[in-house]
Amino acid sequence: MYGAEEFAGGVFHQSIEGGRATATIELTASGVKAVTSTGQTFEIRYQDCALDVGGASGRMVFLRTMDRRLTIFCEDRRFPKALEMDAGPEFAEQLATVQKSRWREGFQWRMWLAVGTAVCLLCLVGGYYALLWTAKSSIGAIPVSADIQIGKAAFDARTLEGPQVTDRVVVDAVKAMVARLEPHAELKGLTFDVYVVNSSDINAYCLPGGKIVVFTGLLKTAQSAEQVTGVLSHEMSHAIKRHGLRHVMESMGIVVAVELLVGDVGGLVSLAADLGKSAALTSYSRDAETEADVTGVKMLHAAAIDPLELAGFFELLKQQQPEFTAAIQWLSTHPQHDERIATVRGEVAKLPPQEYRGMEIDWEKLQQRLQEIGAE
Amino acid sequence: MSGLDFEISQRPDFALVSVQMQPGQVVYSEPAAMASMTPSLTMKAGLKGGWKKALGRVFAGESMIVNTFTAENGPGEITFAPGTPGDVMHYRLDGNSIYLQRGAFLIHSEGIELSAKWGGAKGFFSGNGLVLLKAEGTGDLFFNSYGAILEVDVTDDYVVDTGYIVAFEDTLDYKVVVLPGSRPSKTIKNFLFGGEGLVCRFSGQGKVWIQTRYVHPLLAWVYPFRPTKSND
Ligand SMILES: [Zn+2]
Repeated sequence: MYGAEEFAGGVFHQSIEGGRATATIELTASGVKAVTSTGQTFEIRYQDCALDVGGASGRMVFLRTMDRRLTIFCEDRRFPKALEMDAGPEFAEQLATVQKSRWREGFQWRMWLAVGTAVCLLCLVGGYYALLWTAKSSIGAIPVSADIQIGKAAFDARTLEGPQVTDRVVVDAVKAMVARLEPHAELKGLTFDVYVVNSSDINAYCLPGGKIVVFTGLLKTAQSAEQVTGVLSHEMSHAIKRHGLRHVMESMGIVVAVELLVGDVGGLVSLAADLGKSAALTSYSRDAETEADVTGVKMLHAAAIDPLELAGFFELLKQQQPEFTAAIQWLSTHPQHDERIATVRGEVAKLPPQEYRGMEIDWEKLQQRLQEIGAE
Repeated sequence: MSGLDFEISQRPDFALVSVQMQPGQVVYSEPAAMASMTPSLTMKAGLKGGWKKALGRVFAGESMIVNTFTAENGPGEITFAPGTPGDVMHYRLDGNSIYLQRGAFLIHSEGIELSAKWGGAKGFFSGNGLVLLKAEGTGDLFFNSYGAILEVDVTDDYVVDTGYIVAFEDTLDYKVVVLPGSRPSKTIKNFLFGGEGLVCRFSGQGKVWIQTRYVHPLLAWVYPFRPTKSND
């Protein structure tokens, strides 16, 4: 079907005034015909025709004679399709090749743009994690005063799990245990404060910086002052190994990380206060628990207290576990008895011989006093 | 449609366009382009073509507002002068289109539509503002340059620094590229911020209009002398 469609386009030829004119384009049986508004007619036969696609829009089709003296062009979107139908398959092929090469050019741009965008995104994400990592790995550079501030913030934010016990016999006994261990803490500058809480929970914890909270349930359940000291060595090790600080840093966002990198611990402190309201601050990973056991054992050994007392306490819990279903607090944050007993024994085996001395604490009197003050 | 009866005088340094308007005839101009007119003409300012087109013009470095002059009360004469010293070119559109560099548009008759042409990546990377204004339809178009205008008939390939392009015809393919030989470190800077070494490579067949001065060096020279507001 020829001559049915007309397209708006143009012609370049030297016979036209100004060299160019708009024209009406028609596809005939033999070629492409263009008629200008002044009535000049131009025609290119299909077999003499070279094809190109371009123009400012990139969609304009140019048909040229081989000597390039005559050019007919058209930007109508229907034109390529009509050309394909009327001019034959070899034209369709030419057109497809030209269009594909243009598309490929466009594709390169799009690809560079996509690659650029991806690189930018990667930099942002990478930068974020690098910043967090830098902040976290700078833990050694953070002064111990930060631990103390964090511990204080967390302590102020939380409510004690029971009434505080101020009885001198009870408090002094725990203080004496801590005092025996304190000189052997490998991190200096911590201040170990003791708080005893009247609660049946068999538990104790140590906040960052050294605030120690001991429950009367632990004192009543343990079989000796050495066992309690063993538990305390473990809890103090959490503070010595700065597990709380690490924990807060793992929970921190980018803002806190940036603050920390410029030496401001304010963000960490307020974050610790938030974490401190729940038990989150004193719940550690399995690795941290193992590290606290190992450090505790070394500290007990250095203080000339038999580290096997710690293992003994685990054994006790294991045996009596069914009876302590109501008071399973320390167990829930410190699972896997057998494994921990093995860890303690393994560590003890590595240590040089040591002459152990018992605690100078009247254990009977302590138990009696606990009864007298009505400890849970 | 009959064309405008016009004359361009004072070429090429301080060109001025005067149009003899027949009753009912309309001319659209860039704001502040009108220099003088007879009282029989009326002026209306507005967002021609709706807010989308108006916003498009802003991106192409033109004003959002287009002034419309109508010979409502009989024939009259009106003159237009571009903001920069230079030449004015007349172009008769006959159903085709032409691309203008930012700030080059001066006036057009009825029958022409202006729209911003987002050049895709090639427009985006040129800080020199190769976001172009596309004029299409049938009618008279006038555009201005900074300095004189050279008309170049491109038949194959032609390279123009982006700062010197005034306008080009739709039959030309254009690509913004870095002038070969520029140092790679400079290349990135040029791509992001524009500047020397960024050129437009034209190919195909058609006309390109080039201005003989580049406006940025002048602006850089004038900048320190501009009046500033002080806070005390
Ligand atoms: Zn622990």
